Order: sequence, then structure tokens, then C-alpha cells
Amino acid sequence: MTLSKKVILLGHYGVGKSSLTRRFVHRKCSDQYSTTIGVNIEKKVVALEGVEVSMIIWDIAGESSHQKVPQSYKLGAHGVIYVVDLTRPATYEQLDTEIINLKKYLPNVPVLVVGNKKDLFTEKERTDIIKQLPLSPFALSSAKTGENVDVIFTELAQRMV
Amino acid sequence: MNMPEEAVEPKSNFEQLRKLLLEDEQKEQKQLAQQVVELHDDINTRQRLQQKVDPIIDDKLNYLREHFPELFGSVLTQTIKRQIRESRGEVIDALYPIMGTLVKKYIVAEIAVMSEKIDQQLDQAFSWDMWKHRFRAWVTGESLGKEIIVQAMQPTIEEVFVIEQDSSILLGSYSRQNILDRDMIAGMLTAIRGFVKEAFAKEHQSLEVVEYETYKILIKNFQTFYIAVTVSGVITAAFRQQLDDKVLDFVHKVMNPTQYETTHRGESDYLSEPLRRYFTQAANDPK
Repeated sequence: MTLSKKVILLGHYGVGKSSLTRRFVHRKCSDQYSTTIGVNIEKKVVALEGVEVSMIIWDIAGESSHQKVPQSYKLGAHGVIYVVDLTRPATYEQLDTEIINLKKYLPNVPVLVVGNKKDLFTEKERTDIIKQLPLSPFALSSAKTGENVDVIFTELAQRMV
Repeated sequence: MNMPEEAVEPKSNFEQLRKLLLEDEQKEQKQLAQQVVELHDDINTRQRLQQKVDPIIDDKLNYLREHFPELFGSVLTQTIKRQIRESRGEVIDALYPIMGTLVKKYIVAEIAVMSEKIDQQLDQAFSWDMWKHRFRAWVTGESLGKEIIVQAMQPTIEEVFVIEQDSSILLGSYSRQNILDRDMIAGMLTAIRGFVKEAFAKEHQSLEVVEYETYKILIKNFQTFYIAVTVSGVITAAFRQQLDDKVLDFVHKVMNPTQYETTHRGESDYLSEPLRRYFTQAANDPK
């Protein structure tokens, strides 16, 4: 059995939403930064035990708040990955408020908070940054090395079924 | 001990006097007791109670029947209005195919009048090409205007997508050829619709046509889903009319909201077979 699920990626611009998507779907990562205009849609089927989840991934252009994202992009989402950039505090300073508002807008929808660009820090630096985050993230990831990328999407797939 | 005679005498007199004075009351009392017994029987015997009460109920029912609109009209109207408002989605899904057909029948009649006018104007034109078209139209039995357009480029249904409104999840599709990933097309179409709606701040309006080169994507919106039909060639009014009928018929018979919610929700690809059945035939119909 295959279930189709809409997944949206939210977060400030430049946090690595498109890179995470590209890494997960195409197993690629580019050093060149290109801004997402509007939304880019990708698809990947994740095989879980007894069920396949066809993830329709809406990689939405970055905004400082999810409230600036067109409502129609968020409507009907079955799962959310909220990405912050560990190198830029501005992308996670309002994280708790953002997640509370988002959960009001999308109740009963799993939201995974991901701290991206972990490859740019040492283990000690990462520990210090995690302490600064208003919410503890589900995982720290690196689109560049691919670390934890599959783990995040697979976990979301499991929470959506 | 014996009572003296003088003492017995006055008591008997008193009894007689009492009997004389209360005779009427005693009769009334007996009658009342009898009536109470009859009343008790009337109330506790269904048949007898029915005989008494039925005429009164009938009178009241007749009165209600005659005065129903005055007595309950406004309350009923308010209740129905409230229910429609609260279950807007279900009402729209139920009525949309029927209303759409009615409205379109009226429009078709108007188009027929317009088509006749165009034919009249074309009749006045005089050229060899026109004579050729006239000849062909005469052979096929079609109107001249239609003949010219149809000859220019016949419309063909290339793809049909049934897509859930908010989530953009593809509920089913039909395609004449192998195309890109249909789930992604469904997603992009939904994103484009969302973008247009928000960019132009038209909350209660929606995108109906996307046009590129000789292709057109015609979008028919319903409450919980929309249907996008990709057509190549020139779309004539007759073709569009037929396509609209087809879509409405499909929605009415296959996408029945109750059937969908209770039987098919969550079931993947249950629409592909009916879509193929409906739209392969439509694509092959001569226009």
C-alpha cells in the first residue's frame, strides 16, 4: 500500500531547505546557493514496514516567519520540517513562538525541528549552540555530508502514517 | 340496657328529616360517581379515548396544514438557511453537478443562437475557401462555423488529473502518453493556483485556465477536490460543452462525496479506471 503525504519545509531563507531536499531526493549537494522562488516540489517514496509513503515535498521559499508564507502552500500539509541554520542565531531566536503558532495553524501535524549545517562546528561548539536554542531540535543535520538527512525524512514519514 | 321510647322516636324522625333534605344531593352524588367511572373508562380505554380525541386532533391537524406557512415558515427558513450555512461543503458537492448542468443547458441554448448568427455572417462571405468549407460542411452535416474551426485544429484530451484541493494529493489521473511524475504535476498545479489566489487576493475566485502554446489546462473546481484537464488543439464551444458535461457526470457518478468519504477515502488509484473509461471515450469522440 502506498500513501501520499504532503510535506512542507519551512524556515528562514538560506538555512538549507532546498539543499536538504536535494540531498534526500537526488543524493546531491551543491556549494552554489540559489534562492527558491515561490515553491519547488519534489517527490520521494519512503519504504516503511508494511507501507510505502510517497512524500510530496514542498520546498517553500524562505521567510523570517511562517506567517509570511502563503497559506495555500501550508494548507493540507501532513508533516512539517522546520529548518534553522546553526550558524545564524537570527534563524532560531523566535523558534519557540514560530512553532507554537505553526502548531495552532496545523494542529495534529508532526513538526520536526532541524538544526542544519552541523558540519561547520566541532562537537563542543554544537553542544553550546544547542543550549542556546529555544527548543531542542529533533536532529542536527548536514546537507553537505548527508548526515541525518534520511533519518529526518524517514522519522517524519513514520509519524505521518 | 333498654333505651327509653322517647329517645328512639326523635332519632327516627331525624333520619327521615335528613333523608328528605339530602335526597337530591344523594342523587347528584350517585350520578357524579357514575360519571367519574365512565370518565375513568374513557381515559383508560384506548378505543373510547380515540373516539373522543381523534376529531379534536383532526381539527388541529387540518388547521396546521392550512396555516403551516404562517405558523412555521419563518422558523423553517431560518433553520434550513443555518443548516446550509453550516454544511456548505456537502450542499455544494451535492448540488454542483445538478446546478452546473442546468446552467449549462441555458448557456448552450444561447451559444446555439450565437452560432446561428455567425453562420449567417459567414454565409454572406464569398470566397473559394468558403465554398470548399461549405461543401465539406454540407457533406458532414455540421455547421459551417464549426467546420472551419474543427478543420483548423481538432481538440484532444491529453491528460486528466483529479487533485485534492488543499494537500495537492493526486486522487487519480488519466493520460494518453507517458508524462512526468503526475504527483509532482498535481503539486505544481496546486501551487500555481495557490499563488494566483494569494497574489491577486481573490479569496473566493480561482484559476480556471492555464494556457501554454497549443495546450490548455482547464480547471473545474469542486469543494474538496478539483479536476484539471489538459487539452491540445483548438477548443470549440461544443467541445468545451461536452467536456464540461463529461466532468460533471463523472463527478456526479464517480466522485459522489458520500461514496468517496465512506468507501474510497485513503484508497490509492481507485479513480484511474473510471477516468480512463470516461475520458478515453471523450477523447475519441469526433467534435
